[in-house]
Amino acid sequence: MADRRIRRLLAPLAQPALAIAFALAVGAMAILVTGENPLTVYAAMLKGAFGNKYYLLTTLTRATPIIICGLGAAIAWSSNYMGIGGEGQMIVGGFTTAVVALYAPGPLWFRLVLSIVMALLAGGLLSLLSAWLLDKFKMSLAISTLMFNYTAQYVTMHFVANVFQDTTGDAKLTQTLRIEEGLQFPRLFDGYSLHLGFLIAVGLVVATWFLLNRTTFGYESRMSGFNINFCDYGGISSRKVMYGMLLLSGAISALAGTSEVLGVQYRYVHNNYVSASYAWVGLNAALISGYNPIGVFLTSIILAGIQTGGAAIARSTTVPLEISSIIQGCITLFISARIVLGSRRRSSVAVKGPLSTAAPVVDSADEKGRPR
Amino acid sequence: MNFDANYLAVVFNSTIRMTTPILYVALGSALCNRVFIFNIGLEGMMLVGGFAAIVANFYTGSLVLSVFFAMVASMFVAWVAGVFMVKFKGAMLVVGVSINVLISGATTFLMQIIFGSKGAFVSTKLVSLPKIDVSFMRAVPIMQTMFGSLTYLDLFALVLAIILHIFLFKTVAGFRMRSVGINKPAAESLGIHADRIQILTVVFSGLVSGLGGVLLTMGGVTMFAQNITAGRGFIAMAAGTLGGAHPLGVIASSAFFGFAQSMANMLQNTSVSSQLTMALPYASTVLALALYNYVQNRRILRSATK
Repeated sequence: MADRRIRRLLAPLAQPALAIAFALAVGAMAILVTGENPLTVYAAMLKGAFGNKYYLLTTLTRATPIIICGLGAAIAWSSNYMGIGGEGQMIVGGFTTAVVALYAPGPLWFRLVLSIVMALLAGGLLSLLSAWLLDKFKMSLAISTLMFNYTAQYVTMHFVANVFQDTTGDAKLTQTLRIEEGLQFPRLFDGYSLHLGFLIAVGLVVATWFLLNRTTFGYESRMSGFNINFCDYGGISSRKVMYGMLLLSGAISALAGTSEVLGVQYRYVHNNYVSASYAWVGLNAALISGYNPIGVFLTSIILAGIQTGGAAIARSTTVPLEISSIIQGCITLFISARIVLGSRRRSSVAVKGPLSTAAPVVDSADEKGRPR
Repeated sequence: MNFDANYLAVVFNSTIRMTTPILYVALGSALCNRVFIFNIGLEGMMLVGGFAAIVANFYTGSLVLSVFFAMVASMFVAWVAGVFMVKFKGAMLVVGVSINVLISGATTFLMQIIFGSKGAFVSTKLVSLPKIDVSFMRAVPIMQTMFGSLTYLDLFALVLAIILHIFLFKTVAGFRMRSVGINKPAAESLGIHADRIQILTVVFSGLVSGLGGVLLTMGGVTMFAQNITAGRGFIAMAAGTLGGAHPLGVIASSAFFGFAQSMANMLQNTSVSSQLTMALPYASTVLALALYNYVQNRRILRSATK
């Protein structure tokens, strides 16, 4: 019995572990090309990511926007609305926060609250626009959100460069003025970069888990994710679910931008989120963890670790930073096969009852990879 | 800015040069649509083609080998994507996103290893695609402006669209291919190897995307820059949809996006904000798709009420 329980707990982890092992093997080949020893490079990466308090807290700081974007993606994708607009939503979120915090009138607390609320609204509305286009014009969510990523990037760049540009310093960056100290998120430890945004991310993980697993709305959205026709047949409005989930997903992704502005840069810097590709890494985290909020949290920290570790070895060896993208792309590629295995297992669950999730990962019937 | 005939000719010329890379990828995307594959990895396949061409170009100095190497590289990446999508039943969006992340990382990684440069790579050793000689048009200078500095690869894009049109709608093989997209189980029941056709289509879409990438890195300018495709693969997907997954329709929709991009470039030297014009191709994609779908839906409604 205990053996079964352990297997049930470990079964969902088996394939991600396998995928990570494969991806590390591909990464090792890439490292060999550079003429370095993969084992020492990986050891250095691990040390650079989690080796001491400084590295660990840097990784967690980097993981913060990834976790938040990952939750935003998980919410939309788990209800089967596969938008890829996290980047654009994060951009408008960060931009709105910075502009409102800088220029809104009133006392500090009011400006802080207003800047966060407006960012949530901006991200949510951008996502709603895609939802509306899908609803009214049957436009592919993937395409509209992708296009809005670029549109958001250039439109905000226009406003930063031509209206809100920071002209005080000699920096060549397209960025806004610095936000005053009273509005900045406090640091959690003196002298380390980790800030309040991380705690917000942890709070969001719990809230998302609660929403998806313990509320009617979460149940309805999961229904819509399983089978949209069945969901409408059962009296759940799939339209309501779509608008609700996409609004929420956009608002959460926008919060990632807010957290970066108020917690790290203290201003909006053009191209910052795009070059760090927080939203894409967050989406990858959501995919790897199968849209499970706690899984998103852990996976984001691992992926952030690959990035900070990658940056550490890029400083000390000849291995370029992009080794982290290679490893990450391979993980999701290898895991994509699992997503189908998972849904197949789920469909057998419906027949056998919920406990059969303990079924072994590879079904002998599925070994040939044929559709049933 | 003065809108004389010469200016319009320049716009026309730049529209063609902006259109053809998109057209290649859009044709690939249209074919994928025809076999029910949503291939978001075209962006990565385009990027790898452009990169492979520059690498081969640098080491061999041969145009033929550059194009060949680009085709092989992008076909290989497409084959991996196709196998994961069709054989391993990976979610298409997930496979595509992974391919894009992987290729974007791998090309930047290799650029640093091979060329030792981070952002962009240019070299005097690189040869560019030869331009079509338009001196026979010298009697009409405006024609020279309109069709000047184009490569044979630009021209081939149009030829390819026509060939694909004939293939899809006039041959048995094309009919089989379309049947997979309309109803895969039904096609399989008639003995059509649907999986094989789907994978082959993805591989072919990779091949043409690679050619689009070659045009980007060896057409107008000869260089490679980190993520030089800048979302053109995504725009091409929209063009494929907008063209009704029909090769000739795709020419028109690609030309629309090419025009938006060339306008963005032309307006950069004017008082119009250059950042806003850069957003133009992407925003107009959404508008055009909304309009297209609106018209389509109304047509369906009207034929239903008749």
